Formats: sequence, C-alpha cells, structure tokens
Amino acid sequence: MRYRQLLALTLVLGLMVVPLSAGANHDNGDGKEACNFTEICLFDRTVSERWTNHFWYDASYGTHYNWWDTVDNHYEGFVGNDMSSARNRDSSCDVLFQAIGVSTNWLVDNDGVKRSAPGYMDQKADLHTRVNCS
Amino acid sequence: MVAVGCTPEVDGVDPAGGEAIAEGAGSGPDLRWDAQPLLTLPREDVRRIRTAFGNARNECLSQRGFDQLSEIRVPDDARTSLDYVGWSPYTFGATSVEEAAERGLDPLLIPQPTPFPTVISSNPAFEEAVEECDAISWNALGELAKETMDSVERLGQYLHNAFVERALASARYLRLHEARLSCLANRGFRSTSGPSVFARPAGPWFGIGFGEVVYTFPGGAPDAPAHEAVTIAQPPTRTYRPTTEEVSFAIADVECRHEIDFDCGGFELAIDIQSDLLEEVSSTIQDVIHDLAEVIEEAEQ
Repeated sequence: MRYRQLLALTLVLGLMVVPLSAGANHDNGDGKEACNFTEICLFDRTVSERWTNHFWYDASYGTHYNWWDTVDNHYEGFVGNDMSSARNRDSSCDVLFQAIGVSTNWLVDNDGVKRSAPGYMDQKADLHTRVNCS
Repeated sequence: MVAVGCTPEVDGVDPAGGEAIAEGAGSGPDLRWDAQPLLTLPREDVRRIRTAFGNARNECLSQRGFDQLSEIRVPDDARTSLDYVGWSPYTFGATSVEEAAERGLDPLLIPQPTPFPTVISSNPAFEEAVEECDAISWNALGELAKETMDSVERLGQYLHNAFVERALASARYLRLHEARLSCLANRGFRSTSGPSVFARPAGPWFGIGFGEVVYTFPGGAPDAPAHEAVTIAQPPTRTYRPTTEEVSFAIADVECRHEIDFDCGGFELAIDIQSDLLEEVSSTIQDVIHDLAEVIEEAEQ
C-alpha cells in the first residue's frame, strides 16, 4: 500500500472536518468521520472502520481518492482497488461498484447495512455509480 | 449456437457452428451487443416499479414536510442495475484509435447518464421520515413488491458475475487473451502485475501510471449541511486526463484487438455463455418475471 500524506488536519471536538477548499475537488461527503445518513461510505477493511472515505456522488477512484485514517488523522493509501466493505446510506439510490478490469459488479442496497465486498470485488473496485434511483 | 464470422476455425472445424446471427457483424461498436441474452431481463419493469415507488415515497415525505426528494427529478436515462449486466463495446477498452487517443484507459468509457443532484442531510427527523416512507411506500405497492424487486436485481447481478466468471475462465477467451498479450508485447507493452486474465487492461498492470481524474463543481462545491438541515447537492462534472504513455498503450491495445478480432470473439463468447446460463435458470427467471408482472399490476391500480 502506498502511503502519501496529503494534509495535516486539526482535530476538532474529536471530529475530523475536511474542508472542501478551493483546489480540493474530491468528494468526502460531509467531511465528518461518522458514516452519516445520505452518504456512501467505503472502508479499507472488512471489519475495522479505521480507514474510510465517504461520497455523495458517483466516483471513479484512480489515484484521486485516499483513505482517511481516523486514528492517526491523515490520508493514507488509495481507495482504488482497495475497498473491502461499504455502507450505502444514500437516500434514494442503490450503489453499483465495478471492477473494470475483470468486469464484475457488486450492487449495494441503500438500506444502510454495512456489507463486505464479495471475492470478485474485494480490493478490486475501481468506481461506484448510483443506480436504481427513485 | 451462433457464429458471426470471427471465431477462428480450429482444425478446419468452426467451433461455434450454426448460423450467422447478423450480417455485417464486425468489431467493437458494430457488434450487436444489444442482442445479449442477459439484456432480456426485465429492465423496463424494474424501472416502472422504481418510478411508482419513488412517487409514493416523495408524496409521503412531502406530507411530512420534506420536499427535497420531490425536487430532484430522476432523469429518464438514469440507470437501473439491470442496465449494467452483460458486456458492451467498451468492456475491453476504447472502441477506436481516436477514442483511445482522447480517453486513454479511462475506466468510465461507457457513456454516462445525465448527472443529477443528490439530497444530503444532517437532520435526524428527515432520516426517520425516509425510513418510514420507504416502508410505507413499498407496502403500498404490495406485500411482495420490495422482495420481488430485490430478487430481480440480485438475480441480474448474480447472472452477470456468473457469466463473467465463466467467460474469463473459458479456453476460448484464454486464446483471445493470449493473442492480445502477445500483440501488446510485440509493441513493447508487457504485463507486470494484476490478474492473469482480464477484460480491460489497467495502466498500473503494465507499469503505466494512472491518468488524472478531475471533478469540478461549476457552482462551487456543496457545503456540508448545517445543523439539522436537508439540502440538495449539485453533482460535479468529471474529466479524465490520460498520460501520454497511457494513450500510447490504449492505442496499441485498440490496434491489437482489431488485428486479432478480439471484440468479435468476446461478443460471440458472451452470446454463447449467456444463452447457456439463462437456460440453466430459465424457470427461476420465469417465476421472477411473473412475480414482477403481478407487482406492476397491483402497483399501477
């Protein structure tokens, strides 16, 4: 896993707030560590929620998105080809993860339940798309 | 069994046998990807039920004082999960040298639906209302509505992944894959990591750095909702900037695929495997289609 420290952030009341400042064009949802309602939450690990990133929209990860380490409070590692679990709290859409290389799909219902990525998607997801929107 | 004139004969025997599926079947976008058996799954029925559910849910939320989801009109081209089953002209990569030059190895080659906003919230009352309205709205569509929808969508994904697994493990695909790798190697591109068999190559597997994904918010990035607020967040626009090396590789891959008729071979394989798969689960599909029709009938009363 490549480590890349992008920002040093101030810890405020135990919550991390990642400012969507000018030039920072990545989606971090509401910027808070908790997986809140209306966010799409990705986790590096299957059980641990230590490394996470949250989204409000579709995203293709590439080297554009990094995991936020909620313990050491820095960015570390790429989300691309690394996600092992997810929780979809979007208010109206399911989320489809895709491993573009091997053309597999993983559909996650917006019931807010945290799920482990199955073998054909574990550490393979390149992107997610909101689908089945109502 | 179908043949479209691109399966190489082995020992003088056409392994696919049978009649041509279509005239003029060529490569990439000329192939009749819309003829894939997996696309016969009931996408439109799923869409109709989603629309009925959405209308009921939005009405329920409005009655509780939350109009935000009503304000967002889900575009007509918005995708269901059943729109992502099977393969497409973009599964293996760019469809032309021009596209490869412009898009490189962009993972999002497939044309995207109209972006539309999302509702974001920090309001517990909204969360509760959505939960209630979801349950109420599914119930209004009938006892088995949600369960049936879930079954159809799960079935679609299961079939897609089962198809892909069989396809990439098949001897036919392996032959195509080896020919592709061989052609790429002759052009100086060798795989250094990644899966031994793939549909679409990723730059890093060939030692090529990933291109740049740029998301911009024309009206400014949305603010996290203030205390106990529900807001509508406008979507970003996305641009992909491939590296020069990536473009060279993507062009080489398109040319190699043309040279060995890769896409046509993949297409034929897809048709054959999907036909077999659907036949294996035909009674399950019939049940699902029947249940779905019942749900629609009850929902649209």
